[in-house]
Amino acid sequence: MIALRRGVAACLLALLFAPAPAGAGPRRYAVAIGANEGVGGDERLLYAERDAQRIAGILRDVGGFAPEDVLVLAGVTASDVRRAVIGVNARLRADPSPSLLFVFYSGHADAEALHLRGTRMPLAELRDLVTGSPAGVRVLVLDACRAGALTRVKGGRPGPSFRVDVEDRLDAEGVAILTSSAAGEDSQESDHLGASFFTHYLASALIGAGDRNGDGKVSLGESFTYASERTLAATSATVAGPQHPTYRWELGGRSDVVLTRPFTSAALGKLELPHAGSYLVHERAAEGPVVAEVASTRPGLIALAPGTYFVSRRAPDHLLEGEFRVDAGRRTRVDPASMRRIDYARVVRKGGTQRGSALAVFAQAGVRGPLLGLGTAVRAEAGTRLDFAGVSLQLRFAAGSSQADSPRLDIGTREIAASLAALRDFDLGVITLGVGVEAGGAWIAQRFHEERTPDRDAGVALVGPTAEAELRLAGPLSLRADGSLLTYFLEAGNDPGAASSRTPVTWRAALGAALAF
Amino acid sequence: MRRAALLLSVLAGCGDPLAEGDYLGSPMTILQGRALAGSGQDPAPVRPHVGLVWPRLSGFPSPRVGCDPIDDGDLDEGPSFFAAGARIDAVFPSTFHIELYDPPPPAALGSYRDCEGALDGRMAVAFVLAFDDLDDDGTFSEESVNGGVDRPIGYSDRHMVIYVDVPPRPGSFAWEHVFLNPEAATRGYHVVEGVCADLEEPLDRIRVLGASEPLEVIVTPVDDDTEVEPHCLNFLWPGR
Repeated sequence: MIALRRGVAACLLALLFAPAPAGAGPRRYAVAIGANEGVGGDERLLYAERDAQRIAGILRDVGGFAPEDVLVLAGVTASDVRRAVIGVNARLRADPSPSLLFVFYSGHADAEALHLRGTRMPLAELRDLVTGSPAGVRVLVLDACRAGALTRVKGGRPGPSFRVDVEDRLDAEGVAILTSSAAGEDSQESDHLGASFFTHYLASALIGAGDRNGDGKVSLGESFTYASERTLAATSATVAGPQHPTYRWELGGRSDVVLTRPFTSAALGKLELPHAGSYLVHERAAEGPVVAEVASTRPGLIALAPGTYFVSRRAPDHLLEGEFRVDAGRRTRVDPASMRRIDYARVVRKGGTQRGSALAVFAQAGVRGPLLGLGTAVRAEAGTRLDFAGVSLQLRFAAGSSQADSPRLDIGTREIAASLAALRDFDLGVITLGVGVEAGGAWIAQRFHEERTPDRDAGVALVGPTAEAELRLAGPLSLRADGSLLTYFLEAGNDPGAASSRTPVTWRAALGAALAF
Repeated sequence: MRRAALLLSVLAGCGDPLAEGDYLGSPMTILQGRALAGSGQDPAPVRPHVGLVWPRLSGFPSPRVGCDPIDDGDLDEGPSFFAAGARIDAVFPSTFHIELYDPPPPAALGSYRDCEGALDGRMAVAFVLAFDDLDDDGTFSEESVNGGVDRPIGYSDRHMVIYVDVPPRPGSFAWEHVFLNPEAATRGYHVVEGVCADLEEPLDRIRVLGASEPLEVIVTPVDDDTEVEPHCLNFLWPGR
């Protein structure tokens, strides 16, 4: 489910470059602000404060920001933000060395101000605080709705960026504006990702997914390029519509800023993605928080804290999944051969691929319980099954026979049945369980093996709950068992002239195999 | 929902009604009748039933009129057979119907033969008996009577039931002297009534009435000394 944030915000990027002293690297300061609670009728956000924590963590881990120089503000007011930025600027004034200020905001906003826990901070004020900062390089990223209104950009793309190390002599200055969405567009959160779209992809870029030129560094331009492309692609199919991150780059000269060096930290490990494709990385398990998303046309590499990660790779019609251990200072290769392939119906239910349905056929042998005292029937069944994300439809054909001995008569009963079932399936490891309802009809032929007693043939209806279990064997082959409790609707009576409508209840069970396509 | 119920009803009603596991099949014949009260029912019957009793005719010598005596061997006077009956109300008159699905036991069949022993006809003959099924097993037997378990309480004075296994051969003794209307004695069950002997015919004969002829049973006290001898049904019975 996507939660929408209201408000308008703009992102100002002010870059003022000053020559760096030879041999001295810039000191980096960051203020990461996250506000789930806005003002008035703003819907409460779920992930804005977490966005700020995430960006702050990345800057500490791979951005060269000292922990004491990274300030995280969550659920604060305008006064708190003002005080924090002023405080950082004061520290910057006291430190004559080259410096970089990175201010990040995620939360509600409108065209005029940020919405911070019932208070408003004029956007112009924040812009002035940042642009007026004594830092040599000033970066302000703001992830909020209708950011493009301030930039007056209705969608845009970054210009060609070229890497310039901050340590090098920089002779450019100016203002760049990055926005998470264009004018008139909402910025969205994703429950699936556990973050806002733009921040999620920005974070992924900063830990390595955005390293387009493979030099081991992620520049501002590279990170924005990755984040904007992925944000647009991911939001194109949402209810709120596509989100077009934009930026305006106003520089006396063109230069880029290296934001992170993901692969230089000995405290982190590297996750190598040896094949091009779309990857989603969760912490610990499939249910864990998403820590990175990599979509690349070439092999990729991202930096991660040591731990276990669940990696899934999406293809048009299947998923590959697996758990990988990342150790500090080491490289872990995501080998497709060691991953589980999720295919056919399971991938349809799981989603995330282009496959919207899956077809399978099955054949079974089974029994049907006694009906009207005519004995238990042995049945052969075959059918087809069509799986969608939320429901599975099964068409079943069955033929069965039973034998009953009345006090003086042999009664042979044959049944040909057809039914349609709708089930809801649940994937539990290698087993899939399903419950639903089955309905259909049958033609029942009774033969009495006595010339004097005429045969009887009847059409009946049947309906009832059904359940199934399927065990995946190998590839498209599965072992399956199912059963139903069926109510038959029929006419019955030994004396045809005194027959009546009846609704006997009986059961059905079968065991067989299925082949998926 | 209403349409679904209608559709189910249509499907359910398509074709023949299904028979159940206790189905006995189509009966060979259904005997209809009524039971009338006689006099002096004491005590009143508890579980009155009407049924057919088939004497064991195969144990008796076959009647061969006009032939040299033939030694048919020892007589087989085994017990008679009881056919499925029907329960009747203790309040009279009471109607009943008896469904017969199978021919009577082979030992109940008796034959008519000519002097050379050729078969002229074969049939079984049953008395229509009313009894009090005291042991509630739905059957009647001589053993149960001897044991005082079941009690006969009446019989049909007018009608008997026959099963023709081999119709009488035209021109045979049975054709000429047993049946008044032998051409009606086709294979199967029939209700018959007695035709009294007269100057031309020294023995009673039987008139075939057809299986649909309603039976009439008089429920009247019957004891061990009572000879069940329906009126004018003293015809020449078939034998071995």
